[in-house]
Amino acid sequence: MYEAQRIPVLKIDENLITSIQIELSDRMVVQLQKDILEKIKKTGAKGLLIDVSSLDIIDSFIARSVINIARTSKYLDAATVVTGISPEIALTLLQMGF
Amino acid sequence: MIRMDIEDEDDINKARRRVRGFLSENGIDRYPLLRSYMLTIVSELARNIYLYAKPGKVNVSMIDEGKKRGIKLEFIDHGPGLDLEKMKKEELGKNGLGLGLTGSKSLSDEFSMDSSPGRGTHITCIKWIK
Ligand SMILES: Nc1ncnc2c1ncn2[C@@H]1O[C@H](COP(=O)(O)OP(=O)(O)OP(=O)(O)O)[C@@H](O)[C@H]1O
Ligand SMILES: [Mg+2]
Repeated sequence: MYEAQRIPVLKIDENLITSIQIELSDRMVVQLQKDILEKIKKTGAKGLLIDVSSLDIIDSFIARSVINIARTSKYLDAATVVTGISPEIALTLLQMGF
Repeated sequence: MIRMDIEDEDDINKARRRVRGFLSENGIDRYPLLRSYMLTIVSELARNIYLYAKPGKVNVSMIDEGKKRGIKLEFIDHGPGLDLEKMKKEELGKNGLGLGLTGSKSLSDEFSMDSSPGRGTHITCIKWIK
């Protein structure tokens, strides 16, 4: 199996920023989770911004992973902000019982 | 109608991509919420096949019933099957939150699941275009 495509995580001042611009596979989500947490540990970042405005679908796996990233980041003293959830995605997650 | 095989992890993404194309071709991009519901169901139930019952198949088609037009999603596998009655009590969500099946049901107008231990699972979801 080829190595998972990676989503870049940038450091700007005290914060990490990641913008998901490509179609996510489960493998990429797991990789992103690892990369973010390692980078928070390494840099001591205080904030994390995850931009999902390019995504046209967030299923339960992706949603749960984002929640896990936010939870774990909190333990590492970094606050997470998720931006760009489309109204359709918000309504879909709500309807599913999230 | 499109038919897809679900065998490895990449097939989950392939299925989403194929269904995106199918929905576009059938004018569903005009209904963003419907589109989002359909893509999410495909992602959830294709993943379930991959995780619990591979290999399996996903079929997507447009259907007409009188004046109603709708989309039908079918998920077919010959995996271990599942017992919904038993699952309600203990098994549902053992691996995750158990949102895949219940969520897909909530996103559908009509949802039916035919499954028996040893024979596999056949799930049909229908969503009418309003
Ligand atoms: N196609 C299938 N064949 C056999 N068992 C299945 C199949 N789909 C689901 N299951 C079983 O039903 C359970 C519930 O599935 P469901 O998708 O609702 O939740 P999950 O996969 O455990 O978690 P989530 O989807 O929320 O990540 C699964 O844990 C699995 O044991
Ligand atoms: Mg599932």
